[in-house]
Amino acid sequence: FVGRRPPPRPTTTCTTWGARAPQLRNNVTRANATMAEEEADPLGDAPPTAPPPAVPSSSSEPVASKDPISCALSLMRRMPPNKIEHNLSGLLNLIPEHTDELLQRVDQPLEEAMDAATGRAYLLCDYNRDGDSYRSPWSNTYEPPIDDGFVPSPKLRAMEIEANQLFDAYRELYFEGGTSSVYLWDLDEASGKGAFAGCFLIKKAVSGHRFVSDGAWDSIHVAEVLPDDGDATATYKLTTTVMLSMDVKHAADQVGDSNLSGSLTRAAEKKGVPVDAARPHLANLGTMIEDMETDIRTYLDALYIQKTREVVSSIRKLRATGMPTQGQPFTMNLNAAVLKHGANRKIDSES
Amino acid sequence: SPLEEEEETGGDDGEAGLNNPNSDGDPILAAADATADDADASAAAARTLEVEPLAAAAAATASTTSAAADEDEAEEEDEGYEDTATPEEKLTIAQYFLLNAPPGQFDLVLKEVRALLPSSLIDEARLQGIARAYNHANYRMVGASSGDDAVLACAEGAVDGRATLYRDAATGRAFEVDHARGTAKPVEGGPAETTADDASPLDALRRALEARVRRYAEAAKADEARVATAVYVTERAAAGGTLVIVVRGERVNLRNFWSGDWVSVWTVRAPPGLVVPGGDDDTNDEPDGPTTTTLTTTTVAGTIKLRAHYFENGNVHLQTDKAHPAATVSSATDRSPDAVADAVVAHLAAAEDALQAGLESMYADMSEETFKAMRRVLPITRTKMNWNLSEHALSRHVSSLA
Repeated sequence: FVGRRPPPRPTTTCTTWGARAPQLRNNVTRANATMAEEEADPLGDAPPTAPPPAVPSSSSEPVASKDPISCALSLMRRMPPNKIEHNLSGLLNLIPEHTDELLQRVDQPLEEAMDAATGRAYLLCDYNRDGDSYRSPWSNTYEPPIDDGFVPSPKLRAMEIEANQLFDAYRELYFEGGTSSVYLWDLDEASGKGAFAGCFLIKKAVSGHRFVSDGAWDSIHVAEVLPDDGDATATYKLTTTVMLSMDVKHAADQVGDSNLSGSLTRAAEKKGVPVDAARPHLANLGTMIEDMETDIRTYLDALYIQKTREVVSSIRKLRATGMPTQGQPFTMNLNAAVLKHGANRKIDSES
Repeated sequence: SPLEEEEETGGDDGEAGLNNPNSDGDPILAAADATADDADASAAAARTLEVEPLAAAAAATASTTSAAADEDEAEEEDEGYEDTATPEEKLTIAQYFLLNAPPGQFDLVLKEVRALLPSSLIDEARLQGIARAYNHANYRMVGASSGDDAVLACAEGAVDGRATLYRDAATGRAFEVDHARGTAKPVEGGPAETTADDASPLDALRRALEARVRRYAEAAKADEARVATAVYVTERAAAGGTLVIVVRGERVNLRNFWSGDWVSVWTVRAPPGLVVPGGDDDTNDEPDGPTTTTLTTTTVAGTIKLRAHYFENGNVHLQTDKAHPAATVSSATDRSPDAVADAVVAHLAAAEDALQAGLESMYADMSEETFKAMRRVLPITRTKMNWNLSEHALSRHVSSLA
């Protein structure tokens, strides 16, 4: 939109570093709460005694005052997911006073940049941003360069390097292409000794594929690692959003311009997970992320996308019947062929 | 010519016979027309799911100010924004959301959008204008869910010069439509369009098409889907003319978080040589001049649009837009409206079958081909990843050399 507001910054959380840690905690727990809320108060559900949904309740009734954030989130679930940035930009222009919370709770497709120093691509989000500059996870420097840009402590940076290497390998195994980035940050003392958090991002673009003329997959995993006292076990919290958009091509332009797009968010938590040399934090977290992403992929493929197929079938049956003129020529041809065959038979089967 | 006379008579009766029952008709029409021009543009945009600024003026001023504003805002970001969107800009955004409402969810989108706006911004007239654009873009059926008190609220069915008056193509009955609420009230006192007595070939073709399209839609629809069909004459010519066929199916199940619709619109250029059997033109002689097959050549062009939305703990959309460029169909030597109608509906049915078959084949390939191009289920090694770093040391070394 050509509104007053600039395009929103990618992904979650607020704009100032200082408040980040508690913000994240809120983000993860609030995301969990959102899931619970949404299950208890289903979107778009008509009350049991209402008339059939075909004629929804009149909008002349007084509109129950609804929390703008809930309404904004509802709208994001109704609007086509292949226009997420656009939809979100619209919302931010309508309710700018809720910008921080909206940016926290609504994920958007990731943007990519090139790290000139290493020649590698990396992904942009609020966690590697300082002002207008972004930090590359490969070179640990900001582009455009700034003085005193925030960088993780040396110990955390060492883990961040390892995390990026591992996640890069993961990305290659499952995506065979695309770009990944991992950014880590320490959580404050209130979260416990040694607690830290991270975001694990993947962006894959597909174009000119046999079936997908133009497509994109975005994964945003935000995780918290909370070691227990004694460091023998830890709690891991994970919130994952996957956004998918595919412009589908099919044989002989049969499906015209078709677009399948979707967005799913899920959360998981594991407590008391053993931590030792063979199972360091990154391994435990990595396994959790891998399982979560595979689950979401399965949901999208087997459930959500197949559901759209069911919706189409619930409107129109695959083969139209009942047009007698269509069947006649075929029947006539068949009759003629049978008769002709009968006339040519030399051997009578009943003799 | 007989065709022109009939048109004038029909028109006069229409205007004289129907009194405007709604004293608020004029303000709604005025506001609806004002918004409708903008809304039609955004409706067209919404259909292609591109977004364009509605009013050129707003766009021009906004783009020049936003360039300057961006620089300021970059510096002032942490302090919050000084500029907020103007009411016109907010209306544009509200319109975008409403025009993109999934099937059966216009009311719900309206409720949610209203919660984000100053209460007076979408007044009744504006709301009707936006809803009208939405209904026209989607050929929405308004009125009772079944039976006779329903009508397609589309441009082809609108009574000239009226924003809320629509005619049912089959019966000629007129309805006063509340676009926003999706209701339709029959208007008494309007004459039905002459049907059985009408000997014009074009109207005979319209009736022939209507009967066959309705039969086709009833046979093709899934059990609980709601279908509506209509055939309108949109242009009369000395020989031939233009008709529009609308076939629309919908299934809304919000309790289970899904809804979908299928809107199929076809423009038929009637052949010049239509002959109503037993009518004045019917002779047994072959005409001189163009070959008989030319006289029965009909062109059919259309678009089929599908939307499917599933949103239980998520949000997934299928959006399909298939255009069928003009194709000729012929009823060979048979110049009767029935034969032409058979040929047209056979073409239409085949096109819809082909699209649905194409989609089925797309879904069949989805897991193994399409989705795999995005992300595999398992790595090619068929085992999950080993997250222990030492295992990757070798490959890391190799890739860093590349």
